[in-house]
Amino acid sequence: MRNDQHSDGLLPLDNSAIIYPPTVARYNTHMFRLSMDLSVKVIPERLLTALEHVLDRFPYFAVSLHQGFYWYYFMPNHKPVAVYPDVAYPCGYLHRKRGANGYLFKVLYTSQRIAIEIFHAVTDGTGALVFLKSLVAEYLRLSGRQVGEDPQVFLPDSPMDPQEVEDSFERFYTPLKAVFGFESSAWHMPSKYGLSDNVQVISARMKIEDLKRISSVHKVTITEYLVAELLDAMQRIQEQMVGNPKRYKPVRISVPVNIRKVFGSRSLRNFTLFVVIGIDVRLGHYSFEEILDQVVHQLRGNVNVKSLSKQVSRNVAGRRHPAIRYAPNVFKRPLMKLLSDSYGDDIYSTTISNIGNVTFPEGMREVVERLDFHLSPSKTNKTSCAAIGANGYLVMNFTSIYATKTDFEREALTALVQKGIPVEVATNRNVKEQ
Amino acid sequence: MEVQAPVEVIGQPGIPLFPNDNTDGPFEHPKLDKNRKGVIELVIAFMAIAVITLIITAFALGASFSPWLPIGCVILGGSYLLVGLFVKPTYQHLATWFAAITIVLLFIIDISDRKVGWSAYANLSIVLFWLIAVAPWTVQKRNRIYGYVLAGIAVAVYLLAIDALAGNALSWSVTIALPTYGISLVASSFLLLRIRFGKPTITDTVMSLILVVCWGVVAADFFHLRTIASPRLLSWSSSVFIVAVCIMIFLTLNLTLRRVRHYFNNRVV
Repeated sequence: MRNDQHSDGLLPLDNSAIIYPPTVARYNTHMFRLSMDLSVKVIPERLLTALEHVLDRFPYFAVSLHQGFYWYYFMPNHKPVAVYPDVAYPCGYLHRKRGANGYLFKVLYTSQRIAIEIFHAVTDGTGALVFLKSLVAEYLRLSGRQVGEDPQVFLPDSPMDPQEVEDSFERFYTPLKAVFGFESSAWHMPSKYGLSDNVQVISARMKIEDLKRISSVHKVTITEYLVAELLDAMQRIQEQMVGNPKRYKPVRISVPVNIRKVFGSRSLRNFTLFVVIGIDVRLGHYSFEEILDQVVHQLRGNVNVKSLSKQVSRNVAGRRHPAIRYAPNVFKRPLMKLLSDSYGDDIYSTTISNIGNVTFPEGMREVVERLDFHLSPSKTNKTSCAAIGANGYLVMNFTSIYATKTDFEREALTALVQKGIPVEVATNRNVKEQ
Repeated sequence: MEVQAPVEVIGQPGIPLFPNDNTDGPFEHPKLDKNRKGVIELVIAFMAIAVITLIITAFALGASFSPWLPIGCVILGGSYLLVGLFVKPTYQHLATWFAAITIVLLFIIDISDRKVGWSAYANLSIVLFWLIAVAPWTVQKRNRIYGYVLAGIAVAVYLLAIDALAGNALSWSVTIALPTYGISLVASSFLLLRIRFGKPTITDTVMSLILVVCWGVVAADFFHLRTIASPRLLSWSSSVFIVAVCIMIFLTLNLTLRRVRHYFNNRVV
């Protein structure tokens, strides 16, 4: 039916994707979600047709995951694709064989929403956004609407740029020695409050105009301002939960950075790095201005070609190291599970990923009412935050595996409200029971 | 503290954030978290390599090497690690699984010469341990007394069993061990009654324990002499008997006379 023109070639995972398949476990699904609320009715049959058309244009998404002797790898998936009714809890576990007929993403729908939940090994937020925009545009075209041109909307019959499928980490790799640094553990909210297998969401919607106003007062960007607010909230949570200041640990936030623009890449596979920004609260309480100061210096100081090249080199050098490269997957898999936190989740307390303001072409702009972005949390960092802007609104979605605890979300959003930003809050939590 | 927003800012329920008609699933979730899964996979990988190596060695060496015993040991050794990751992490569950694996391990090692020997004694002891130290904690607290009774009976059965294993007929267990055990139980029951219905001091408890041991020793000597048809009432345990009588007098005085009790009081506040 579709996918017939794909070559049957093996597609290795990109350098930042190799960590995801072996570390999937309870509370670590490595899924993320993008969704668009539309003003038109979504017809599943038409959506499926649109998906079949679009998937032909994105062959690197039409893959299934396999386990080799040394590494996991992708193979083109020729099985029929499907669309699914939306679920109550986003970013749920996707079994690599049974989950979606071998596909590593799911297209979900409600009467007025089209969503995609995708396994992070396939692509990052930017890649998924391009896919979703192209899918919705194709759906609207099949519904008889005209959709204008947009660099992030690919027509099904347009030729594929070979750079889309490249692993840009390999292209921009510079061999460096001693790139493996070690960072101390950050503070994490404890597990004792009860965890849930279902991802709980608190969604906060606010006007971009309000955020711009308050950010410009501090002469920072919206992302920098939000990072500072979350750091401040996390600092307060630690002060509330940890009685003895001698037991304080640094509070850090991981901020994924889309490095396509920095390096000039057109890849639609993973090409994101993480800048970890933090404050060492063992030195004393930080005022909000002090936190902002730290955020601005650390974020701007780390988002440049040279600093990011070091991380690119670390990713690629790690994969190329003979001890890792030639170790059988049966050893790599458990060791990655046991060691991945030391270089990842363990060194920061939470994550905020801001895709930024998304624009739409003519014909789509009038139809898309709301855009959402959700990250899956992890066992170590039980609450994550994802932000995305569209139509003058920014939506911050806090996803959490805490069954009932919402202190972090409350601290962060209360701070925004106290600073004069009206916030509209919604949740999938069972508020009555809680 | 619950934060209640003012009425004017509380919105009306509108379109739900997510569909709420399928909150019950079914949702498939992995059963194990990352670290637990990592350790399990690593243990299984090392076990698999060890077993494969042993099988290859067996093929290479032919009849001079039997791989079954080391394979059994590898599997059981790995099981010790895996049990801690798979079963509910409570004392009762872990102790039961470790006891069961140890019984199988000892049996496999012993059976390698195709004859059950020393492992029967060792395994009986493990079963006794389980009955004394684990079984009472597997029942509900209000029924725990039955667990203690079971443990008491288990010791008697254990004595009979190892006597039976050693020879063809019951000998020392019936004439010496069981009567000695009975005397020790009676002596212990006084202490247990005091703990249950009174507030024995630390001195009381320590001296009572010494008294139980003394009566046990005296009883063992006494019943041994009866078994060998000796004309003497007690042999080497006469001095222990005197100590037991002295302790009994002391405990009686301590129980009945306040001055003695105060003299041996060890309170600090």
